[in-house]
Amino acid sequence: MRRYGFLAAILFLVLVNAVLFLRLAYNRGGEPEGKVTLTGREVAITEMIALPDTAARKRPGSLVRLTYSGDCPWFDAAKLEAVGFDCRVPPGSDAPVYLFRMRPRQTYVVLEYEGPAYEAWRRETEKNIKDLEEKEKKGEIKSGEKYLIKQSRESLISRSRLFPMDLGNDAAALRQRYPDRGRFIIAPGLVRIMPSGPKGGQPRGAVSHLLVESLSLSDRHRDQLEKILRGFEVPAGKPDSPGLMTPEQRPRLRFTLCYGQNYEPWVADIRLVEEAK
Amino acid sequence: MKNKVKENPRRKQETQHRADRIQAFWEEVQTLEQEQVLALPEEQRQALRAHHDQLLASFSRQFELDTTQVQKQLSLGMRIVSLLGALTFSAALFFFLYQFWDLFSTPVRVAILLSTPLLATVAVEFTARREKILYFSPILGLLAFTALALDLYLLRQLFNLTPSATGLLALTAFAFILAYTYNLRFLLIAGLLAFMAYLSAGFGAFRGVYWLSLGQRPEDFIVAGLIITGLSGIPHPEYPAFPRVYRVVGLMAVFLAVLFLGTYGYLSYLPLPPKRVEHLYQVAGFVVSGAFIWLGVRRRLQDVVIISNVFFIVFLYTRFFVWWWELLPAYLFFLILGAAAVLLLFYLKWLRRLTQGPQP
Repeated sequence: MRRYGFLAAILFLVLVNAVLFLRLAYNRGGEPEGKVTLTGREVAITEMIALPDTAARKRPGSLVRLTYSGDCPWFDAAKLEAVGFDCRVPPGSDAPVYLFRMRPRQTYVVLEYEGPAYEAWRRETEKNIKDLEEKEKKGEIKSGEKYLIKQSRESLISRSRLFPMDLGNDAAALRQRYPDRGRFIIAPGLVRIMPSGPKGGQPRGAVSHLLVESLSLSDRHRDQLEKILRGFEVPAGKPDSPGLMTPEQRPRLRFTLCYGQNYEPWVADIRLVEEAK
Repeated sequence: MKNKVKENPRRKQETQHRADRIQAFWEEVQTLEQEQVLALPEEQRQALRAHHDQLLASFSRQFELDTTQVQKQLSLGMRIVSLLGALTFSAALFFFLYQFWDLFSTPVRVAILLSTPLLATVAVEFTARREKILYFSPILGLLAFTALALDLYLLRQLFNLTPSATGLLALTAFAFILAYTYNLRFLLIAGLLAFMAYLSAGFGAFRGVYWLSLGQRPEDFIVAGLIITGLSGIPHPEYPAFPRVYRVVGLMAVFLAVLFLGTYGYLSYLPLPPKRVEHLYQVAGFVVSGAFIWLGVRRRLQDVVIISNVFFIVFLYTRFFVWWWELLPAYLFFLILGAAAVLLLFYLKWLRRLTQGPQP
């Protein structure tokens, strides 16, 4: 029993890892399900790692993070029911508490890059800025609103242009509906129900997060990113640190993301373009 | 040379019982001689002593048994140290990877992740062949378990794979293989915890809920705990200590979930207002722990009686605190606690009398 048990344990470890690598090979095999090129606005460099030889010498960490807007006004009760939520609030129960208690569900989220949702948001933000500037000229602005102008201006140049625009439990059907593989990402994500409306009795949906938001870079892409960052201005007093990109410079970074057969992503390329788009 | 201890833990346990009986026998003989009730002929006494000494020496050689009280205490200390060692080595591995992970290249990372559980498993086999009583093997076994957990988690992160509940099932299977191969209780506990998490995730996933929100409905753990407690009924002739582990882990899950729901009713599946759910589970705490005490007494399962008693008291004192701490002056509150303790003593004395009946 002992000897067989030991062999079984070893074989089991080999098998578990083999299954994992087979899954990886399947995901990345063949033509990618989606391939989209995003900028430094949509893919954030999350951390810098200190190298052991000197605390001042740093390089980018191995993870970057996919960022996207949280706005999804289209995510109503009908959509919630389509992904499996039961939106009926039992009579007599406290509706917000009842809805809040519902657990998130896994589904596929469609994210659009630089589409009508982004354009609508940009136009609205520009209009808000204009309105606030008008108020400023008339001297009617409050101190909090001044900060809002600054924040809105920054968001116009730094906020992600990736917007969730649909979702469903059938990824293939979603792809048929959104066939442009260079503009629409289909990714597994978590969605949850939120109380809204008067007295919080109306259910509304929200994308909690994508199942894979932190993207691991290969060694080649990590070196590439480090090389790019070294071309930018370094922080004062830290000559060995890679340069920091300003929000205006970040859109010059290009990340090509591929999504495979299991809708799991990987970074296929990183480069720097001359002029910001 | 192959070691029979690990292959036949039941025989080891029986031998330990016999060694305990021999020790008790000579203590009683000494007392009876002092009370002048018994006077063994010297020749017979020496022959018996020599026979017993020979037996104890052979047990000790074969099984490394505890033949004295001091040895027993030392063994308990060694088991505790072994558990601490297992936990700290696992933590060391985790923090080592956490600190240096980003400094390694991808092939080095993959090599570390693949080789660590394999090497730890080989080390378990290596030490198990050399130890009569396994003190180092549990440490390495738990290290192998942690290494596999890190392997699954970090490989998934390294290649951007979506998390999946099957990882918990893989951990369960691996822990069970090690536990049943080497008779390691720590690994059985680790495996049962992973299995419980898998079952709870499975119940949620069956309802279409995301598997990682498994902690949000404690009732899932009640069902998983009851399943695990039920599994203790499977005969384990070669592993006499294992059914107790199943019962303790399963019942802990049940009682903790009930305790939790008695305070946070909004986490329940029940379509009732949270306050009502809390009241329901507060009552359920007493009923369930009382039922398991009765069952434990009836089936003579000491572990079930102890754990149910502990939780009965926890349920009782938690309620006392919630009901009366704000309401009563401190002296009266503690007086009630004292009175409750006296009543509990009467109740436990009654239970003790029940257990004094003839063994089935």
